[in-house]
Amino acid sequence: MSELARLTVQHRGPVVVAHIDGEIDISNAAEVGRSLAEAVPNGAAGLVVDLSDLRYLDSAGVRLLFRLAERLRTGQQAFRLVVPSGAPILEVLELTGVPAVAPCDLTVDDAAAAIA
Amino acid sequence: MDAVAVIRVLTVLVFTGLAAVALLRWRRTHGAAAGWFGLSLAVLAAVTLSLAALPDGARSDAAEWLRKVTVATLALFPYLLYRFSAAFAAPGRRTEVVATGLTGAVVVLTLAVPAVHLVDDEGRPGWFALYLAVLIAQWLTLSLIVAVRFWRAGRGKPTVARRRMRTLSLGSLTLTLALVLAGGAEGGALVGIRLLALSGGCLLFLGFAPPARLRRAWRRSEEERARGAAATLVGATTVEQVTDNLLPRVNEILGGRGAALLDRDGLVLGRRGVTAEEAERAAAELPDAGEGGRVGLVVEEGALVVWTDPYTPFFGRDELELMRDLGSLAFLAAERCRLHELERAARIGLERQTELTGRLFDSTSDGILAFDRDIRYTLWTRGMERISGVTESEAIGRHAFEVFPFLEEIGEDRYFRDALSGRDAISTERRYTVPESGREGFFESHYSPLYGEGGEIVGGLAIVRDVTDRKRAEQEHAARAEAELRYLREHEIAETLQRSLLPERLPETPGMAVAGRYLPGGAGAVGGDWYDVLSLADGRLGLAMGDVVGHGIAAATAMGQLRSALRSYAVEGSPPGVVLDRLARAVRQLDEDSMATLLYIVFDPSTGSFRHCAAGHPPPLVMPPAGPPTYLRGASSLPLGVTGGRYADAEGSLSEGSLLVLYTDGLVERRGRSIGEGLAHLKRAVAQGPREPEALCDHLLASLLGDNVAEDDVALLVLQSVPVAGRPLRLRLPAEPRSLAPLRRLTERWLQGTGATREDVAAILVACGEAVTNAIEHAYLPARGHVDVAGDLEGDRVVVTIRDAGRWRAPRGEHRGRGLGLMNGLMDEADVTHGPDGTTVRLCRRLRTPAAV
Repeated sequence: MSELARLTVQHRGPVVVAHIDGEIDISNAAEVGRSLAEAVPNGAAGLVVDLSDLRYLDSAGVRLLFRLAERLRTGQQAFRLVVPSGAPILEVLELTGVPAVAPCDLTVDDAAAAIA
Repeated sequence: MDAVAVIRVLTVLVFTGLAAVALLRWRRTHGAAAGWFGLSLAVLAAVTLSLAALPDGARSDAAEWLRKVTVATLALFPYLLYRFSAAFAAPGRRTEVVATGLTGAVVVLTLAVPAVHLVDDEGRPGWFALYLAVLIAQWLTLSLIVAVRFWRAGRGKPTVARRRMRTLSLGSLTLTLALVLAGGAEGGALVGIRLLALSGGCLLFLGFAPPARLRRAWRRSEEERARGAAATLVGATTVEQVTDNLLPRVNEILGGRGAALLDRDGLVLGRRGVTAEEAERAAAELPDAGEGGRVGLVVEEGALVVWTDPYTPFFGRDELELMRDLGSLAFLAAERCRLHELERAARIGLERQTELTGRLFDSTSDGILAFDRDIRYTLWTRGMERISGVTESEAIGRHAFEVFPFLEEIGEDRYFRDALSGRDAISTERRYTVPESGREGFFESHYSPLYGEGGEIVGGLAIVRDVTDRKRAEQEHAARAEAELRYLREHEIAETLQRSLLPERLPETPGMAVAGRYLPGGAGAVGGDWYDVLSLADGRLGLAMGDVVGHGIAAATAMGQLRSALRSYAVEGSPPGVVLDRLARAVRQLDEDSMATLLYIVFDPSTGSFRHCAAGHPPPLVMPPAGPPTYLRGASSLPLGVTGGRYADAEGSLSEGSLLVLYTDGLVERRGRSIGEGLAHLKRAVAQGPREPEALCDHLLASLLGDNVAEDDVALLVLQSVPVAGRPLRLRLPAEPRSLAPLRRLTERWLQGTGATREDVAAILVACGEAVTNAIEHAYLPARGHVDVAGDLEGDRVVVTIRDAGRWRAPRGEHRGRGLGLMNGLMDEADVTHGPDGTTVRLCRRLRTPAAV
């Protein structure tokens, strides 16, 4: 796995919490997407992806989020994002309409609570 | 008739005869001497005749006058003899006066006296005794003078001349004695006296004209000398020897004072006793020679000239014959000598030529042989002996294929026959084996026909060259060349391998300028030096500089393995110490004997910081924009492959514009120079060198290696942190996904200098990322290319232009449209222009707060 982004996965009950630290561009988007998909067991209620420490996200990352959202919806699993206010990636998310498929919370706790 | 009468008659007859003979000779030769002699004998004849006719006692007037005339005439006899002797010896003036005076006086007195009493009777008066004394004195005086002169004239002369002179002298004395005695003689005594007178006359004639037999007898010694001369002439080998032997003997034999031998053109072949001028004058005056005391004998081949003293007794026919014989002999000898000399010259020439040819034959390593029509050897030089081991005596006269059966076996006989058919033929690199001498090797031969005088082929000639050494040299050369080729091929493989393992081109890293060099070692040794520059995933840069111990393919292969291992460990972005630790373990697994030094640095272009660690490798050198260069020490451990290495890395940083120099020991190690000196030298060279990586590489190689070919191979890597902020951004990136992170680092650093806010930075980075991603994804597949990014600050607007050389593809699907949407959403302007040379994306954004700078 590349050093560009680091993924840390936690389980909060039925909810899987994935923390992404770093940057996501076309060089690592596919890998990050695969890792996230693998991190969610079929029995999980949903996925929370914590983007608090993500410094960069472009359309490649946006595509991965859309694909992930589609897949989780198929599995009837919830999908939420954690994006603090003032985050550099916020504008990209808003411009591309990500919050429509992945609601954004300010904290992990909020997101996990919303799923559970 | 009594005895006196007989003798008287005999005397008259003899003297008359002798006078006639002498006068006839005078008529024939017109020689003065013969004339005088003839006259003197005629006087004697007349006197004896007159005395015979006069009765002793006759006393008539007529008888008295006849007596007077007879006595006066008799007085003339010694004078005439005296004149004759003048032909042989120049008379002195006083002698001349005495002789002439006395004779004149006696003649006058004789005619003046009343009567001449020849017989001593009583009637002889007293004065007559006085007259008689005068008469006898004249006779005695002149006769003695004549005798002495004759005697002297013969002295030192050839035998014939000498004997003739002596005989003349004796004859003269005998006659005088007879006359003196006749005065008082009577009867029997008178007969004796007359006989004495007769013999005196005969002696005179004998001296004057000796019979041939007598002359031959007298001449025997001369003839012997002449034979001796002839003998020496036979032995003579040069014309000089001929003249040296001949001329002194000619002088001796002919009584000359000098002699010369002239050839038919008048050229003086030799001379003796005369000056060169005299000889040449004689040559010029031929054939008039013969006057002035010189006798020239002209024969067909030339002339023999003899200078006689003017009073030398004249030459007789015998002398001339002797002279002719000697002359002919001399010319024959001279001619023979000339021929001999010609022949000798020719022979010397021939000998020299033969010697030269022989030397040529012997000096050349080539052998030369000749053979006759039956292919039997007729010539076998030393060269052939050397080549074949067969001597001349073993080869000459024997059939070639009998001596050397192998000739037929290898088909060489064809060339012999070619030569005999009149054709030149060359055989090359033929193998020969001579069992008798044990010689073997290779030879080449050039065959030619040999022609006789009539143009017919009489045999053949061959020049044989032993090419064994050449052939062996060629074989050795070929073997050596093959070995060299093998070595070169191996070397080439190693070098190709090594070069293929070295980065073909260094990654174009934003904010970094990197230059690398690799030089193989001087002896063509390809070492294990290598370097690598890795773009790590997070935009950092991995710099490796290593040296695998050993040379050739093995080292290059080991280096390749090490490089692969490094790449796989480093790509994760692990710190240098960790990477080296893993490599050390890998090396120990590869090969127990392997050993390598390595310097590894991880550099972050966005901050200029780096971490470094060395495994037995010379320290890197940092050259800040200002201040002296320094070596980075303190993070070095044992080489890879050596047990016990502890690899801990250290931190450092490069300010903008600083240079970092990595190298292998080949750059600083030189025979005869300590590594400390090498490092100091490198430090000076870096301090004085240009501030640009490519130029600095060239400068360092030139100043540390110079024109000397490096003994060991050399690798060099120079890295520079390029200033980014405060000036327009110009980047060229490989059209690869991994360029995106460095692009963001550099752009971010640049934007920080423009006063952009965090939102500005985030927006611009994403917009640029989208544009570059689009170029990477679509513009260049499948070929690799690059993308140029230019960032400019125009007032409070940031303008970023992304240019690629590829063909833009219309966005497909939701996703691509999202990228373009992002660019439009994040920037104030986003223009995409498609041209024949590629696509240009121009992004523009007004900074939300005015620039602080």
